[in-house]
Amino acid sequence: MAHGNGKHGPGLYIIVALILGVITYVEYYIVEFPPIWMSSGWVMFWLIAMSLAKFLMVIWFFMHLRDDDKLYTGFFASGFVIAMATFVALAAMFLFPRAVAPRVAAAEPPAIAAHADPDAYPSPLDPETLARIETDGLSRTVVDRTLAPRPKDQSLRITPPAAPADTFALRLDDDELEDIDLADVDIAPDPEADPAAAALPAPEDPEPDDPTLAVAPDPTFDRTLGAQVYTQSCSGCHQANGQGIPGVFPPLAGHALDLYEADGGRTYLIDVMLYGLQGPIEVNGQTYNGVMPAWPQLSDEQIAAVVNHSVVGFDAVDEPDGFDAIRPDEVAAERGKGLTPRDVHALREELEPVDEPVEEEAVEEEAVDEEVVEAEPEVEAEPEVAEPDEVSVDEVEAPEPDPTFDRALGAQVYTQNCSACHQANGQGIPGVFPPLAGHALDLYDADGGRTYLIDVILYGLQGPIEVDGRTYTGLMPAFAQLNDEQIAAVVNHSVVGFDAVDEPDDFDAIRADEVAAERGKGLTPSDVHAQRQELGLD
Amino acid sequence: MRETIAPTETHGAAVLSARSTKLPDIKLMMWVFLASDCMFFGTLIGTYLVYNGRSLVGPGPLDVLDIPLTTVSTFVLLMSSFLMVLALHSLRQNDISKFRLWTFGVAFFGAIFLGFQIYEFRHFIDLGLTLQGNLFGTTFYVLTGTHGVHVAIGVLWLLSILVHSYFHPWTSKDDVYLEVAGLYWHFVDIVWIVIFTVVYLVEFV
Ligand code: HEC
Ligand code: HEC
Repeated sequence: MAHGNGKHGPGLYIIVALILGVITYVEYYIVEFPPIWMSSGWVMFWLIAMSLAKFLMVIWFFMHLRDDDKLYTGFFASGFVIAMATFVALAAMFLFPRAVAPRVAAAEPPAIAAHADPDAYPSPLDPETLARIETDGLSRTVVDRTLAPRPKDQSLRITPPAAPADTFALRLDDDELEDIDLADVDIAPDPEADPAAAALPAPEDPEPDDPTLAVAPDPTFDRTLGAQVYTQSCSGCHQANGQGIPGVFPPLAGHALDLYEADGGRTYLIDVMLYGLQGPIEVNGQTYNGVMPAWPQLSDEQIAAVVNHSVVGFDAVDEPDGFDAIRPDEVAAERGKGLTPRDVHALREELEPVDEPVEEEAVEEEAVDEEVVEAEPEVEAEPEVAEPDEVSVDEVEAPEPDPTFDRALGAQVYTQNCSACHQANGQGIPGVFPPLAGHALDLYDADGGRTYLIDVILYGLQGPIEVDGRTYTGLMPAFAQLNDEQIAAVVNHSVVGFDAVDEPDDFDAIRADEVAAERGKGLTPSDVHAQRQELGLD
Repeated sequence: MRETIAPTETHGAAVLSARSTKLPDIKLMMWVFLASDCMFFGTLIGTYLVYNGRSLVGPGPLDVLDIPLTTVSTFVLLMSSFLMVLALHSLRQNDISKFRLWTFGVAFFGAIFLGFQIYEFRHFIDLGLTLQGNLFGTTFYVLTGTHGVHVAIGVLWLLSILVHSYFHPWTSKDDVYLEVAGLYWHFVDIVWIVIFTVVYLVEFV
């Protein structure tokens, strides 16, 4: 029969509908409550398998392809095949190169490339890292996620210290994070774990002359895995070659080796991976006070590999002869201790010689772009200017200019939208993102500066600019989606809201109606750049 | 086109082409259209994935998407597909009142789905996700919006069948017209099955 599909009673349809409903529920369930024993790669696999099953069931039973003329199937299948081919071609061009060989992808056209033309100015960041800085905080591609699961505490957001953790309810909170840790330990103890190693005494004293260690230092580890995990999970912050960003993310090249060599350093490094790190630290004379996210979701092998990579894997680091690679069973032994990032910070205080500046400098010079070194004083200079406690609404009583604006809103909008690039205190990243603290005040004071600031937020900015003697050629995205109040508040925050900035007495806050008046002009980021040229700065 | 050309061994089809395939033109045409629509959505979904995770500014998918809500609307759409086959079955049995009931059911469920989508879009806009705000907004709204337009067309189509059935009583001979609408409807459903997985679920893995 050509299409005699009247023959099926509704019974079959009911069964199919039931199965479809059940599959949908299962899909929902494994996404909302992912089984601990299933890696995200497998969850992904089952999701795709299940939606394929639903797809086929609908066309097979509901659309009657199962007993209809094969010509229909042929037509539809050819359309479907062409669609899949387009799809695979797109993926091959854009998705996979980025995950598998990020450097290739960085050369691809997407908008991000505009930010980082390494020839145009010496940037401490290579394009790939820059791309990660900008994107990782929001979400990652499907491929990225399959290869390296999202840290459960969303701390890939780039400004951990200030990140508003409470913005959206959908993220896992700390409690859930803890659940995951515990479950990890209870349900999946590493069957391979060497009981002897697990029973090792206090981790603080792997004496160099301890026979077990001295006899057989084994430098082998999975170097490819280490490099891969590093690129995926760490390079967004610590940078591709482990050079870090001075004042923001500590360097690892060379420095991790010092940590490794310190007394108790082996376990400390593992604990940083498993439990994160929070609290002020000093590396090469530079202070860091950020949050290093925990990575309990990585496997023991992955953690061992990435720690070893951080210690000896960077080009700038000479692998010492006696290097004894950290083994997965050592990682397994550290799990389940339930440390907090603060506890890990306390552990760090107990490490013996953390900094060995003499050796450090040699390594650093190779590892770190000279620009960065130059930049350090600039970053540090800011706090000196700082005179906090100055800004207070009540103190200012100028009759005409009205300095009031919604300060809480300004700070909040800033943290959510701007701090990833311009940094939490508006200090920027030299050569990449211009500082705003102090500088935005100069812009505000310039002739036409008020409208210019509004236009930058509404329409973005593109074109070379100079700030404090440094050139910036990146792209500032437009934020037209913010409402007038939000834009006014965030501009005011940028101008006078940072601790390091003294609010001038005659500060006249930008009002929402001024923002409204600037809307609808249809400027391009380059137009705004032209406008900047006319401000008559310096 | 409503006159039967010749009775043949094909059952129920009121309209037959005289061509060698002996298949109703209108149905063949619908399948060809669906094949092309498949390529259309394939490209939109591909574009979505290519730009996924590349937005320079928020909000990102994790900030806005709501899995439980969308699971419910997905379920509603699946069930409308189920009612669609029931409607066709009833028509073939010449059970006209059931046919009208189920057809109305499909349109009704489709409208509920659209209601969910409108709610979702408005909510997302409140959260700052706009068509021109970032890459996620652009690709998301274009993809799901195009799908929503398909659903809306389907709802109008089914309602017009329903209205038509009162003025021009349908019989099992007219089943091909309903079947074609059904094919379109099921296709819209399977596109959503894919979107639900690719855009919503996979994001939270
Ligand atoms: C969100 C950005 C971020 C990511 C991603 C990140 N780190 Fe960190 N890391 C930091 C910050 C910030 C610190 C300093 C914490 C502090 O100030 O207490 C740090 C500190 C460290 C330290 C300790 C340095 C010391 O002197 O004690 C190590 C080791 C380290 N990170 C390794 C890694 C590795 C390996 C990865 C990849 C698995 C990684 N980090 C991923 C931000 C990050
Ligand atoms: C993706 C990173 C990024 C984000 C997010 C970002 N900016 Fe920018 N911003 C830049 C870059 C890069 C420039 C320099 C553009 C150039 O070189 O032309 C810039 C320039 C500016 C300028 C002009 C500086 C000058 O000297 O003219 C202001 C003002 C500014 N940003 C404010 C903000 C505010 C307020 C926000 C949050 C609403 C924000 N930016 C978010 C990257 C960013």
